[in-house]
Amino acid sequence: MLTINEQFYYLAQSAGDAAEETAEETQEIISKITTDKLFQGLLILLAAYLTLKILDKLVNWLSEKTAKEWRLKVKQFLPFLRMVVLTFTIAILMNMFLNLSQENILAVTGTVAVALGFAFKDYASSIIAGIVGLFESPYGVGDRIKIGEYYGEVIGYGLRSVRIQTPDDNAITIPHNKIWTEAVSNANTGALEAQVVTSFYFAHDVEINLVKKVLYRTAQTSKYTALKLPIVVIMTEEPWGTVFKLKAYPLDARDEFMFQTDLITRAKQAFNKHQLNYPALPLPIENTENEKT
Amino acid sequence: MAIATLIRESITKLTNLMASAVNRFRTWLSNQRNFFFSRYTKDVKETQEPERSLVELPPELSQKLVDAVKSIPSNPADKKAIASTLDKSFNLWRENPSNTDNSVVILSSPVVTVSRILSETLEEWTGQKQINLKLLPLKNRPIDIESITSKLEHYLKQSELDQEEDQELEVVVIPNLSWCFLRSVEGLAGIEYIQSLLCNGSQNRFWIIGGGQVSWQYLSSVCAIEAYCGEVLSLPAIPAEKLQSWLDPVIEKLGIVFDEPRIDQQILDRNKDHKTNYFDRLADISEGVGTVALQIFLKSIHYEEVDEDEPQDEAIAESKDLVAQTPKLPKLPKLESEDRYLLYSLLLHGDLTITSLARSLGDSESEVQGRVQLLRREGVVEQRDRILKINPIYYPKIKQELAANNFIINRG
Repeated sequence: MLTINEQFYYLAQSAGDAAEETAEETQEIISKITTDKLFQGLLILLAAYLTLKILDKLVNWLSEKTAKEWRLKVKQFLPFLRMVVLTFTIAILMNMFLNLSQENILAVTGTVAVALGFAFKDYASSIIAGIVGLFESPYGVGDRIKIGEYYGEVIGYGLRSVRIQTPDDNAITIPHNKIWTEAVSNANTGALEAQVVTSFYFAHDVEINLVKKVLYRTAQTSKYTALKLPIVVIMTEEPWGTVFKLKAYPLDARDEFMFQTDLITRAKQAFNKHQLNYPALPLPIENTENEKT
Repeated sequence: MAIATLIRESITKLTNLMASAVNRFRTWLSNQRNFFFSRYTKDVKETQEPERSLVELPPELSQKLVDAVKSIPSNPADKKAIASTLDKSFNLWRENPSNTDNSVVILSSPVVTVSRILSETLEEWTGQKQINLKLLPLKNRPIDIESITSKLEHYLKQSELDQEEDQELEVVVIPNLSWCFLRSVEGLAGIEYIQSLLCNGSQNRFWIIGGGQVSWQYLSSVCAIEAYCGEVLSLPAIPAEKLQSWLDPVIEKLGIVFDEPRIDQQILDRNKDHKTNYFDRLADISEGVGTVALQIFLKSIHYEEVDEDEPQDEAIAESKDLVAQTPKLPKLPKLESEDRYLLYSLLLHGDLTITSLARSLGDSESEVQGRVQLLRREGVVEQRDRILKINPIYYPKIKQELAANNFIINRG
């Protein structure tokens, strides 16, 4: 029977041995890194970088050249291709420098895990979220999404973050790890069309059938409308007036704002012709904004 | 050591074997060269002959050809299809006017003038049927589209009053439904009026409606017009033999000869002569649309180049053989999304003035004019007497382009 002191002694001894062993292995691995290997590694990194750039250009060029119906499908293949290239590059580099045997993998992952845990927690979380996102697909390139307060078209899907272009033409970078905590609203989920909801406001005594007819005709005769998809007019009542929401899809989600402008312009021209009554002021500001889904 | 020597010897033998195999393959390939290339050159001797040099027709000769093509009547195949559908639908309706469909719709490609084919067919048909025919006197779309309903009311209501007095059967012809609407908020009122007449109008009235396939598809989607009408006939694609017999008078008149077909067609259809091969290909690429086939036919006619040193005059030029080369569709120029919207609008309405086109697009006239000028320069859009139309030769490719870009248009 060993005493408690002896048990602690053996435990400390074995821990010390393990640490010594890991240090020796690390030293051995480092000693195998030569100038040649470093040069090769740099070349591989350069090749991977160039491949990624070429892939970016090629896929984007191809997606713009193909018919609209294929555009998003082609674009959304890019993140997968990037991940394949990066995985291969990392695997080759690790094999080259770390001589990936079972023991080495254990030694390296242990060290990396500690480093990541402290220094790159958020970065690692974003990368993992990016990989999860590839399979879960809450958004893809070309989709029109809303994360937090930002709305726009996804123009880039990186390993760590997604880039969206807002209606004001600003490019916003949002880390993927937002998908762990934030709700992601996706207007078209890979489809070419995204529903546009345009609100129109009238006084309570407005001629409802006339307004509905004008709204339907406005959507049906817009050059942007995708007629294969439904056009719907819905109404809601507010204390200050009646709200009509015209829901329709543009042929191309990129034309969303032009489509909305066209609908409003032509509908207002028709309303003015019929001299329809608008609601009396004051209006609550939050209700005057057009919504998008 | 013995094993190492054995391995080395085996490798040497294998290398020698591979080298000899490669050499044998190279020799065989060299011997078979004539066979492989003969599939492309047809005959070794023929390749040494200079290729026939053909040039485009001079304007006078080209005009002569265009005039000859214009003088030929509408394709008899179309007339025959229309007449048989009219007979069937009209007889059914006449037997039981209150319980059968009181209309028939004849649809053509948007680059075919359906009103012309319809009026030519109806001349013969009404003679046979001995019936009162009322042709809607519209020759184009009214400039002020808001007036379309009042115009239709004027023509059709008046006619209805006359009819109620004598209670005779009457056939009303709308030569082109596209002239009764414009894609704008107020522009579909004419169609709504026609729908109301089709549904609740006089029972003694039979309707014959002509229209374009693209506008029909649009109106079906927007106004459900299909539900209000009876049988719908889409003019069938004209087969190669009928295209040939249709164009034979022009070919004989101008003495057109047919060039050798492309190599792939020669391989596929060895037993066919050049003319048959030509019309097979023409029917294929024109999708059997008469106006498209005519344009491709005109474009394919060339004549043998006259040597510049030789004295030239018109008589010599005209005495040269006109040669119909392998028919082909021209390449569609690069289109922006705004061009696609414009071209779809032209296909939808068939023909438009610049004012109506701008209105149908919801854009300003100056903006649209700029786009139209570019497309006219490329030859995609044609303008005659201020009326804009799609050049029929580009129709098959435009249709594919629009269908691939989410527009409501059939590919087939």
